[in-house]
Amino acid sequence: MHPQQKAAWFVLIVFAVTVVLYLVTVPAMSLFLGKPWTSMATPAMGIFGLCGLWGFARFFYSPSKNREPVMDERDQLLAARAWRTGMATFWLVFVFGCVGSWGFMRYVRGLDRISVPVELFPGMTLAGFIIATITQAIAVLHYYGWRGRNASGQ
Amino acid sequence: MPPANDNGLRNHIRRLRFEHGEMTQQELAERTGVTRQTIIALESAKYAPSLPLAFRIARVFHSTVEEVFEIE
Repeated sequence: MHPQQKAAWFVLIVFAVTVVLYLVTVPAMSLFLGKPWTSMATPAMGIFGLCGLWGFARFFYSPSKNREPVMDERDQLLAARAWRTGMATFWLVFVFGCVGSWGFMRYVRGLDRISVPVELFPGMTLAGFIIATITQAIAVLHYYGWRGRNASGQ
Repeated sequence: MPPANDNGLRNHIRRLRFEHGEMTQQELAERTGVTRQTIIALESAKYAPSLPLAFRIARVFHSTVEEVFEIE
């Protein structure tokens, strides 16, 4: 399995563990603090800081024992293609979040003169980046082949 | 007849490997500076090489690019 595939699986596994921990933390905090779980949903999102572990994915790119290059031209092509897919997704999420939040307040809540709360933007950026990274990992696995056999390049 | 990719490009890498002392994919990968996965993708026509890589492959087989790759 190519290091890029290993890194992609690592990203997906860390995210899956993070989501599970979040779903466990919300009721746990609710129980521990004696507050309704809906009010714990936002504070528990600090769990998504575990996504910072993605930074360790770089260690999969250590030089291999044989004389193969870590990233040859095809690997770079696939990485660039997956990155473009991820960034396109990020842009869609971010723009939808910006416009959607304004539209929600204007047309759903019926506010005439509104401004989107500034505290939404860091959250939208973080959510967009997480979604972009997940999309990139899925794209890498799709381009290489999910099981690492007979890897295709196009 | 080796398979062709979407652009009609096919290659004779697999045949040339066997004709040159039954060279393995790993050995060809090392001599051309790519991974074995790339050689596999090349032979199954799932990847079109860059010009420099095409020339390196041809040089390994002491052939020209046109003898290794052909287009429909």
